[in-house]
Amino acid sequence: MTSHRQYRITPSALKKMKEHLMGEYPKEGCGVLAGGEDGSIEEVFLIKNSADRERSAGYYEIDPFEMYELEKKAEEKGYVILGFYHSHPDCEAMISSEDNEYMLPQMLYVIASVNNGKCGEIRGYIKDL
Amino acid sequence: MKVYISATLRNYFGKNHVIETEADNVRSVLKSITDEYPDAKHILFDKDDKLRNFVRIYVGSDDYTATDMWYKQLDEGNEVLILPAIAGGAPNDSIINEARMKAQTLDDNDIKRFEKHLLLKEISVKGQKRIKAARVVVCGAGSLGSSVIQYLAAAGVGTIKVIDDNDVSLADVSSQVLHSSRDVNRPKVASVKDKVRNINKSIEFEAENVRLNADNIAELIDGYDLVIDCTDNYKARYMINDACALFDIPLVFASIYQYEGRVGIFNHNGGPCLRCLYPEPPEPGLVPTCAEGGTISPLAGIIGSIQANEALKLIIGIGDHLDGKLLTFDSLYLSSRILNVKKDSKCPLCGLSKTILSVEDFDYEDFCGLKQDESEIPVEGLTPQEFAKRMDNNDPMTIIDVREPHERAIMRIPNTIVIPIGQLARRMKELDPEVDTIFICKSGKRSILAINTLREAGYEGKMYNLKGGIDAMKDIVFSHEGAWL
Repeated sequence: MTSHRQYRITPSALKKMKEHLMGEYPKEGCGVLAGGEDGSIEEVFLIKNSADRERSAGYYEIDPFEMYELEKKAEEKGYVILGFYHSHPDCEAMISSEDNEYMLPQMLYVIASVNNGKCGEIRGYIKDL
Repeated sequence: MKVYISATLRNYFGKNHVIETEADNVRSVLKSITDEYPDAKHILFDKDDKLRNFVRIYVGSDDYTATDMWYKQLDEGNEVLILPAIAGGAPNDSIINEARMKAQTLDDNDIKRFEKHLLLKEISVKGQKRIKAARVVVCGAGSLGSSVIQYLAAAGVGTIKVIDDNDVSLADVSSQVLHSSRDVNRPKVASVKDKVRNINKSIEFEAENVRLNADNIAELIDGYDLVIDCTDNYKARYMINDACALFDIPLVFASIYQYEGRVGIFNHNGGPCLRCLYPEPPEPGLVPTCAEGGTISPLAGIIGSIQANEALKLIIGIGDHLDGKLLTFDSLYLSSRILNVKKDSKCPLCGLSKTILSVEDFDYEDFCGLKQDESEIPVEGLTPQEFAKRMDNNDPMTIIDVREPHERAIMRIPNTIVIPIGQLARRMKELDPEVDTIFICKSGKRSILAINTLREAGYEGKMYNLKGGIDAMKDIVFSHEGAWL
């Protein structure tokens, strides 16, 4: 079963996401995509990568409680959680085996390739179970 | 009781964010909410009914994700939280960067030669170019080195340096399959050079017929992409590990002993080093040294092949590897395990407060406690000739053999008492203090340890060490041949 959903991202949300990920370079940055039920991404929430410092060049982790707090914040603003974004520093924007293992079904995963501090290709993935 | 469902999972729970249930433990909470919402069952659990990796269960702020917490009684007032664990990572990085990969070209000959690699989508042209760009140092051209070097060369590693200062001996040929009988007495690196050239002439091969030490190791490994430790002793292993950590070069480590082998990757991406795993070497006398221990011939082939495979995966940047892990393989009972190696924040080499800042030529004998403490009374020794003379003369003496059972198959000395070092103090009464006691082992080191052990235990009789051990007795000719029977 494959999902066919369309997502749109507002220029301001895209800019915020790119700037966040370029700022995190060479570490991997991550955050949450929020917006309307119709798939319009209107806001991005920056998240502190909770993976330990030495591993964070190639790994990200979001603390479940930080996620819990963030969900509430998004709801207050009338947003739904549409998915997550993270960067692959100096790597292609392809889903990795580690990504796949932890992917939540039906959530949009946006991966941005950040090379030498510059944001390159951006791809989105959705997993069906 | 209230169950909070994360917004990320709510689609499977009729978009409800809180579900009321009468269950009183996590197990029954999960059952009741998945009974109510059957779609959610496939999301929370996999085919084997195991909770999926991305699900975390909390009661208040306590983590209840582990199944052994699921039967704990909960109060009506508790809130159960079903939250996501969101994680991921960039694909495995290759240790060869994009620019170096792109600088390589594969010619027609390469395309034919590496056809099998090019067929694999994970390797293909990019991977093969990375292999060609790689510069790898192999320390030791013995049994592990034999398979590592052959596979690296066959796979097309562009630059291979081999460091070894030994000559090939006849005993090496039985397990060091790179060397053949006609190579006996040649330097190992010369024999390796011929074999590598036979495999692929275009490989840049660097032969270093030197012994690694603190002064030359920097020059020998700095600037290379990867070091593969195929040595057989603790001194070299610690020195190589220290140098790799200081020069920030990943290390593929392996060791073999009798029927068992171990492989791991150290100093990679801020991961642990050998000193995080073994802060101290084994107790002296507990483990016979590698030269004394012996190994079954194909073991080095198995373990060395795994080393070469790990090296290639690091170079190509694919798969899971043994970074922060140690693979152990038992060839006798065919069992293998992967142990996790944690980075030690107290590690003197790569921890938070480092005390090792340069490679040092440390004294392994001292490090292992094999060296005599100068404050101790020196141990009196007998040369093989003196010992043989006493035997010929039938002088009254007690001979204690402290070798391991399998070692005693070689050169049995008549009328010896066999006592492993660990039992010496307890079995002291078997010795007659009025008669000289002579201690023997394979090379004359463990026997010194035995004498010191008995002294500490309070034994007052006269004790001698057979200098050089059984190894030194090989050239002794007895006046009557029956002495050896």
